[in-house]
Amino acid sequence: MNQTLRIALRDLRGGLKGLGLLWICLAVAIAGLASVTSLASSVDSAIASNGRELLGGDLMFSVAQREATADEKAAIERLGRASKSVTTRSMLVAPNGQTQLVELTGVDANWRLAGKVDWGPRGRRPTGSEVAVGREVAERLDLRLEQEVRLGHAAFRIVSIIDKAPGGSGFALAPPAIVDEAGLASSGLIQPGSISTTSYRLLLPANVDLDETGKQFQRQFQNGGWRATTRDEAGAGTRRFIDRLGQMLLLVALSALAIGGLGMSSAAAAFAASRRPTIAILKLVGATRKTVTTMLLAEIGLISALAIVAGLAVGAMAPALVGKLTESMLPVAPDTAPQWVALAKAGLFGVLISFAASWRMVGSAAETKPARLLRGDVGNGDPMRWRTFILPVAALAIAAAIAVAGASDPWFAATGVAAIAGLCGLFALLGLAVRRSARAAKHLGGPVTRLGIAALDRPGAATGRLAVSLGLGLTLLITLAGTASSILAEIDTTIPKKAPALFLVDIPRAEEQRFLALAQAELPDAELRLVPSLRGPVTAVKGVRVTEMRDVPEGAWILRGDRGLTFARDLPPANRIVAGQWWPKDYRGPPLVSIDQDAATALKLKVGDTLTVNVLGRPIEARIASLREIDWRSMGFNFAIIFAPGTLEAAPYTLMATIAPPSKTSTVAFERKLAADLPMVSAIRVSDIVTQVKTLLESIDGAVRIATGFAILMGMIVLAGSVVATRRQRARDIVLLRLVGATRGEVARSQLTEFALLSAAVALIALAAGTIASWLVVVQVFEFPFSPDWEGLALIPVGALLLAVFAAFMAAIPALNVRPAEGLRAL
Amino acid sequence: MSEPLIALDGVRLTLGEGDVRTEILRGVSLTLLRGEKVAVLGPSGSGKSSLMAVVAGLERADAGRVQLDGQDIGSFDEDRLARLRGRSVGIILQAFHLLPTMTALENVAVPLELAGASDPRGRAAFELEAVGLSHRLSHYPAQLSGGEQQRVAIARATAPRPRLLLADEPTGNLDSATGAAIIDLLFERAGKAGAGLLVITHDAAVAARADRIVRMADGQLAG
Repeated sequence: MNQTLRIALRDLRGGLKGLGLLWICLAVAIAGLASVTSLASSVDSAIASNGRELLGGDLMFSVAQREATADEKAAIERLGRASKSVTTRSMLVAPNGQTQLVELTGVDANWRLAGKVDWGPRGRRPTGSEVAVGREVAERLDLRLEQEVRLGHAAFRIVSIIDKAPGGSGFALAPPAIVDEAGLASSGLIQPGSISTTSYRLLLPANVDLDETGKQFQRQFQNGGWRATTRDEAGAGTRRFIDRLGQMLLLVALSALAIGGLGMSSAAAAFAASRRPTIAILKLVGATRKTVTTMLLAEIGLISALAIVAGLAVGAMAPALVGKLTESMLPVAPDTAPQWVALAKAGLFGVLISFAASWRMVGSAAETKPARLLRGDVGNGDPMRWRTFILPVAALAIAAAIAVAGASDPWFAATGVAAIAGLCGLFALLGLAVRRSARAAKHLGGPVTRLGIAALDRPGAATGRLAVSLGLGLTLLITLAGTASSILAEIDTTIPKKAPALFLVDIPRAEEQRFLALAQAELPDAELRLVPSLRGPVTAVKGVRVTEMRDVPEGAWILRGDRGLTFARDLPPANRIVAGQWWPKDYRGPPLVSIDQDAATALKLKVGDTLTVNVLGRPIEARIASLREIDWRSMGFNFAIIFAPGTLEAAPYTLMATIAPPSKTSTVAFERKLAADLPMVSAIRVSDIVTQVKTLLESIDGAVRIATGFAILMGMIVLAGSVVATRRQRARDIVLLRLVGATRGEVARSQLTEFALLSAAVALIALAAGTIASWLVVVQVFEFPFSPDWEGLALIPVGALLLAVFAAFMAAIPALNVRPAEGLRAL
Repeated sequence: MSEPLIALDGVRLTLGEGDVRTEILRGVSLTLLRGEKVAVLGPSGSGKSSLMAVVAGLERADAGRVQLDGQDIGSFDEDRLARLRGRSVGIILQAFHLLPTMTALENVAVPLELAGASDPRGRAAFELEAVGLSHRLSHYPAQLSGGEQQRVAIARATAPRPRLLLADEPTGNLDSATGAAIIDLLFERAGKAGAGLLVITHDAAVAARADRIVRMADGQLAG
């Protein structure tokens, strides 16, 4: 073994000397970071590797509101073995008359070609007048196997209760119901114009180019409005969601790592200080600076490596541990195998942060002059050289570059990293201000208070580091709490006031009068709005086919799947024209559309450009007449694409309605009557949507809060660690105070004064910074009014202050307990 | 006449900053021949230890010339001085300054290991045997008496076969009987190794063992 490494190992025999804190900070921070990156990667890899099972085949062709023509069907069957399914929405009526919206799928005998369907205990595949229903419907309507329910015009016996739709995620507006083709036909729900999607899934040989096959089919039937989805694109929505959530959690975990880095730097400083006598002796007997530096780096490197390995071990287990909890929300169980790339990335962050945190301390300690042994003051540091900052700053820059370059949204990541750096700077300045203030105010109060104030500015005080490590986590938590409470308040209070109680879809045009009469009879005071409704995909933008577009912009969601379409003479409420002009009421000319301005921005569309939409197999190229700003919070009919009159009227379409009865009016009787008289009409309760959105938001909020709590914990560890590191100095002060007659209570008060002053300053700045940040997110990003839960928000810094004082005080207790005589001997 | 091992010429040393800046050595000139044993006698604060620090290259003289083994060390950087100490100078201090996490054997082996010597542990064991500590090889400093610790320090200083031994109050932390034994050992080991010895002391009895005594007062050599 190398001589220097041997000396380093011998040196570690005497204990970790401050490196224990480094180990804890690094291990905990890497555990958090590795867990976040591993979890995101395990979900992504599970979806990616189970694409065939999720899709139910290798390639899927889907079309809205119709089935394949004979030619199209023949072309599909020529490609390989196919299965067909038709999905629509419908009201399921329980034996007691209660209703529930379901996503009804009628499947053929080949369904599903790939991926096993779990029909549940004692369940089986439904045929004829049998149905499989989602567990959520069964629980909500108290349904059991063998009970009879109604869908459309037909009755069905429940033969299976399934956990979730095969291949679907836990987040769906309507729970699933599955019948066979004959069952769907008997329900009478699929009529011309009714909203449905027909999908054909194919099993193809391994050597087939799925993308090309899909495109070829789309080219062959280019006016058919077909969408092609390959097995690699299965679960794309979930992957996007997990990626976004993962990025957010990664930033929080990086903040925790930054906080941990400060703790590590305190630990490295304490370690370096403790090694000065050894360094001086080694230099006395011939050790060079290089030897000493290598020795110190080897010691820190060894402890860091052990911490990184421990943190990565936790991260490697995270998918198996946390994955179980998220299984019901995801289309597939996360991959429990270690996510090597994610772990390697977390490990690299660990190495870089450990290096950045310790290099300066090592460099400073290596400068220890052996002559100090003769003067007995080896414990004091020598002046720091500015050159020692170069490598740590470079290591941090590399870490930041990796975080940004590796993100799917580098702009978001760069903003996040810049925000973390900005907050670190802000709290470092606060630390400086606290030190300055302490220096100016050290004559205030009695001796006990003075000592507490002076401790904030004593040589080697960790005031700046503590301000950053406490402030960063606290600001994150306040930002999150302010944002989440504002958004949830909007959903809880404002939306229900503005939104209608029910959305009604698939109202046949022929039944319009009957529907209106029913609504008038059951809900006479309700505000009713009816609009035509069709569905179809956008197939070309400015003449360029979507299937041929190389890069689909991030915000171009209107290109994904089928879009709801309508036509209108008047500008709908909650819409505002921001470019172009709304058409005249009696317009009768070439097709015109008005589109959402955000979608237009994403696709770089302007007034005068063209957009092609496929409606029931017919491409319609329309010129953009205007761009609209839509207030999505109005929860009314907010169509991204609205046609001018004169284009879509000839197509078979159904009607959609919103019903807004006076508040607290029950719509249950109306829903039941509707299910009995017009069973093809589906009613969607806004309260269900709100609940669904709230559940999703609360899940995100919960995940980010756990990560943020972790960042705060990290701050507390750093605080306690810093107190432990300065215990010797504190013990000295305490012994001297006790010697001149101070009681333990008075000494404790001086400690409390120090921690309380620092924590209070940090809490105040964090409250201000967090509130401003959440205002920016809520108002600027979400465009919601800023209405946070002020009481809850104010409680966070108060709680953190108490926790910080408690943590610091607990860490200082051993010093308080030192007996004066014992302490004097140690001085 | 043999070439001097140490040649100091008009050495000046000032320590401290600002108001506390103090001139410690004020034009010291001294020579020590190869194998010669010289005692520096003087009261506390007279500059004895600083003189030794300058000779060992631990402090850099502000003025004057310091020659060690024929080399002017004034232009040496820290690392070159460290290598020179490891090879040519053995240092023994009043407070022993052994590495607390290493055994007696390892403490003695360290300078040999740093110098890249062959069989450092074998040679360290030999040195410890020579100072009467063959039974204490695997003991840590905290498990040794003060006298034993100073013996380990002597073994550590002599192990690399230095041409010069520097001892700063080597008996200052010991009782008189142990101190006397340590001084015997120090002069014996220096004699056997043929090394020059510069011993700093305020004990006239210790100084009397030397070939020559120089006295220091107020940063200058007296008489």
